[in-house]
Amino acid sequence: MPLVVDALMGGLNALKEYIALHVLTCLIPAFLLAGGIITFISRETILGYLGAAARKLSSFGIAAGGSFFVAACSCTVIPVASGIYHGGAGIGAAFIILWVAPAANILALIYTGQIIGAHMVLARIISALLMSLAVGLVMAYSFHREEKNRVSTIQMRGGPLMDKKGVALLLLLVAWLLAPSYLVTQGPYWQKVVVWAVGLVIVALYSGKVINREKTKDWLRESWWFVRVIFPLLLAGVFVVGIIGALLPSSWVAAWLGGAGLRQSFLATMIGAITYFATMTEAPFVHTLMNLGMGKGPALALLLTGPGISLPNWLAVARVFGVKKALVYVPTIIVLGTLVGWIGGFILD
Amino acid sequence: MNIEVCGMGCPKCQATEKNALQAIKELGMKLGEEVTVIEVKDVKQISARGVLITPAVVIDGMKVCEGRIPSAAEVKKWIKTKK
Amino acid sequence: MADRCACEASEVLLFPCSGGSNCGQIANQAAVQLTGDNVVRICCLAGIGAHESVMLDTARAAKRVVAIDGCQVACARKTMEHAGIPVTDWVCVTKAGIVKAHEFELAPGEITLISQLVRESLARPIEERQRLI
Repeated sequence: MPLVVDALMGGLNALKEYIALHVLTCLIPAFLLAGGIITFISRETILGYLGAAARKLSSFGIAAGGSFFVAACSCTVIPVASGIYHGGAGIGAAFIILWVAPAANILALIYTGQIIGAHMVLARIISALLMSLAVGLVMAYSFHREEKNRVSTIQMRGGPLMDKKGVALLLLLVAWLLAPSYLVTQGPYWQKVVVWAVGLVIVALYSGKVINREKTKDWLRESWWFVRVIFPLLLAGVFVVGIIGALLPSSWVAAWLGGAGLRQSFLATMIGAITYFATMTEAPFVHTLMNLGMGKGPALALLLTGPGISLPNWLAVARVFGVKKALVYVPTIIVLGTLVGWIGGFILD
Repeated sequence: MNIEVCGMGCPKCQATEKNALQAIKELGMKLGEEVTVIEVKDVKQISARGVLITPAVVIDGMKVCEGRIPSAAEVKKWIKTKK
Repeated sequence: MADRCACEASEVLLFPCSGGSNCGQIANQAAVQLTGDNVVRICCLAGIGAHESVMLDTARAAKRVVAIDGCQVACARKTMEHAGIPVTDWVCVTKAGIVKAHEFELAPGEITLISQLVRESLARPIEERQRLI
């Protein structure tokens, strides 16, 4: 009985710590930013550039950079990667999108920064990009013979890449997002709320005066969609994380995942590689483990492979791209994740 | 007329299908006879229709919308132009 | 009026069949639809049949040679094979499920479907494609 009570209390405390304190100053601006990215940046144009790019490095760069903007919702990653691959894009580019989109998802990055800290987010972004380069090269090299005579017929789809006023709004949103944390480094929570409120007014005024009504409605609708779909999942995920945090013994975590060793990094990578993490839930999970004794290196590995791949994802990749490609991709991620965790552990500590 | 809603089953795709059915109802068309609405969930089938970002709507083989949820009014407009 | 062949070398050449039915015309229109950039171009099948030397050279130099046939009689593919040009990609309209008829009202969706099948075929490596024929 007391165990159940502990578990439930753990869940509720987690909800308080990870949600209640962050809804206003972090989550609302984050969802508005995600909605804005979908509305004001033409994803079709990015994919068009990607399909038209000559095979190797330029397509890798576009794929990696574009991934930040193309798939904010995890359910569309596989159709996008599959679509461009079967339309003729290079295998490296397709798998880079498959990897970067979930590993460096914009909402997850924001939340990670908020909960764990800027240094971890920076490490996560840099690692995801370095790993993507490695993934692209490994896939392209492993299948270079068949890549040689594939032809891309993806046409440049219409429209400009971005709308200037929209991009200004996005930058404003990013500033609004970062302001409470950076302007109020030491001080009570209410001061952050004040900064947030001022930011909200500025954003509202700007969008009211500069952005046209239709686009504003689209933007708000997309953002509301994130709130409706992702927020409940986040609540559920955080609750479960709280339960796990209450039940998991700290000694176990410190023994198996503490420090910066290769073994710990590998274990963290494997946990992340197999388990499915819904958008944003990896951040509170990793933070809880860090509080229980997990080292920064293994934490970094888990932040990447947790959302990046999962067992259901392995099967989907095998079904869509073929077993051979999945058998190259998944172990590559696991090896890279382990290395990143190990090396990152040294750098971060 | 054949309307296909492409998506892997996520809420956006379900909302798109709901709007398509709503449009058909408002136009007074007979579902199953004059027009059919099917969900395309298999990734290969989705890619085969030239769709990259889900949700997407394909009417009689032609992609009319991609990457967002169309309103029932928009679907009605597309159906009317196709007739 | 040009009395010389205007075919230029290209990575991908499309050879649709003569089109004596709706399916053949769909094959033709799909090839027209795909011809846009400098990578994919429609070419004259009849020139291959006429053993036009420029046409044959152009076809041999291509990376991928696509025969788009309206039906399973496969005249386009047979013409290419008869001239000794290897066909790397073969798409057949009736095999894609479109019913052959001797009327010529073409549905745009059907043309797009065949175009998409050609695109997908080109996106696959040659060895895999030949396994599917």
